[in-house]
Amino acid sequence: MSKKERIWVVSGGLAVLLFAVAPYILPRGLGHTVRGPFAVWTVGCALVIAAGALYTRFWNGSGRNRGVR
Amino acid sequence: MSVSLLVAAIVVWFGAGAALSFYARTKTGSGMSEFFLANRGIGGVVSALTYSATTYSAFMMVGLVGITYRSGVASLGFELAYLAATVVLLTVFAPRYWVAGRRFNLVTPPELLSLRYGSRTVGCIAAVLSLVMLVPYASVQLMGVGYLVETLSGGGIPFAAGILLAAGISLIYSRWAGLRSVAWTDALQAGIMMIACVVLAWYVPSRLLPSGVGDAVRTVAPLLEVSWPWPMFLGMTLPWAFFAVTNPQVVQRLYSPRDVTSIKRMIAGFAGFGLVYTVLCVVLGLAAAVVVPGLANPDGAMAALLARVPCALSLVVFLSIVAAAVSTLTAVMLTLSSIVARDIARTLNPGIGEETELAAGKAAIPVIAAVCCVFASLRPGLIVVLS
Repeated sequence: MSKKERIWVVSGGLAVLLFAVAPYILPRGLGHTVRGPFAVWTVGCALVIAAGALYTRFWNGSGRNRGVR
Repeated sequence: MSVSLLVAAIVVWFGAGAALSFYARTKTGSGMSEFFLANRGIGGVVSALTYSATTYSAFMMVGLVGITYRSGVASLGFELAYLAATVVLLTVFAPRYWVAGRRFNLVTPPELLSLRYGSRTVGCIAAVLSLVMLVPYASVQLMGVGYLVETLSGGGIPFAAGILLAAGISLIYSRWAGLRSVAWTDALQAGIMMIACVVLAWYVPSRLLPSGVGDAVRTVAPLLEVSWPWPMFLGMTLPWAFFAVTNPQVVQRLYSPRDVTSIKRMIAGFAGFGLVYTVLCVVLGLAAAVVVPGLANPDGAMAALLARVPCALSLVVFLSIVAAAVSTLTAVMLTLSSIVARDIARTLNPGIGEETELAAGKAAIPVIAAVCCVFASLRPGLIVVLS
């Protein structure tokens, strides 16, 4: 696994973990309103998806993915 | 809804899918890769749609709506955490599976394990585990259709007939032309799944909420709080988070894209589909809590909601749920049959030729369908728990 991939796996994994647990750790009133869990989870997921789509641009020619042409 | 109307809608829908499947049959050659992977030549858009239709099953419009109806917005976190984890896993593993599939001519996920560990036994064990674990998952799709037709027809079409209907359609789609047929019908089915969900999510809040969305939000305020205890959230989310690399029917999809661009489009398309579809299903679950409160069985929330919308819309949503169930079922049946052929038949008889191997795989499809029918007819548990 290349350095770039390792950075992505760690940061992507942490991002998923953080947005998934956010409504559980946010103070009540911030995390437990209509703009709380619903928005936190939706926006968080959209951000991870955007980051993932961006990451696929760096697939070609790095690390173990050298075979991907 | 009248039985004749439901039957007519099913016949028209099945006719369209069968025509597509028949056309796929005319384009299908011979060999394991051709039948089970469409000769590794699926384009990006179809890959995205078939991956989405395979992943998102009848669970979404029946089970997720039901669990949101009962326990609120925590279901959104569980589903979106799964989606985000899947995107991260796909960006890491999809290119690896794709390269390995081409380099070593792999057809099934357990075959990769056999190759990696240099042991056919390892692949055979994984194959047997896949067979045992996926039968309940596939059966849930049949149960979803069974409950839905029974409820919508007011008991006019029995649960067992719904099961046989979904199994029969899936059998034909997968048996006729393998993955090419399944991928094309999946694309059609993903289209109706999204259209039906968008239209219903627009119709219900705008027409069925008596005093507007604002009042409805206040009514369901307790459901907008996170009600699942942390261990339950973790217990539901964690196994699903690894779905993309543990479930053979989606792993096998990583072998079939035509090129790298197709894989990228598959991931982006699936992610966009999943985000919109999930959010809308949760919105429908919350809306159902306002429109049809007090149901004893939360899995019946969607059916109860459909009883309040115009007949045409109800039919389209019904077909979309059948489509979601059938698309997941065809994928599971096709993958399990390829596993029977490549990882079990070949392990038992290493000298087996590719033609015999393919014949064994095709013969396994109706057997798997029959086993799923028997399991579904036992009606075990709540849909969301099983799936």
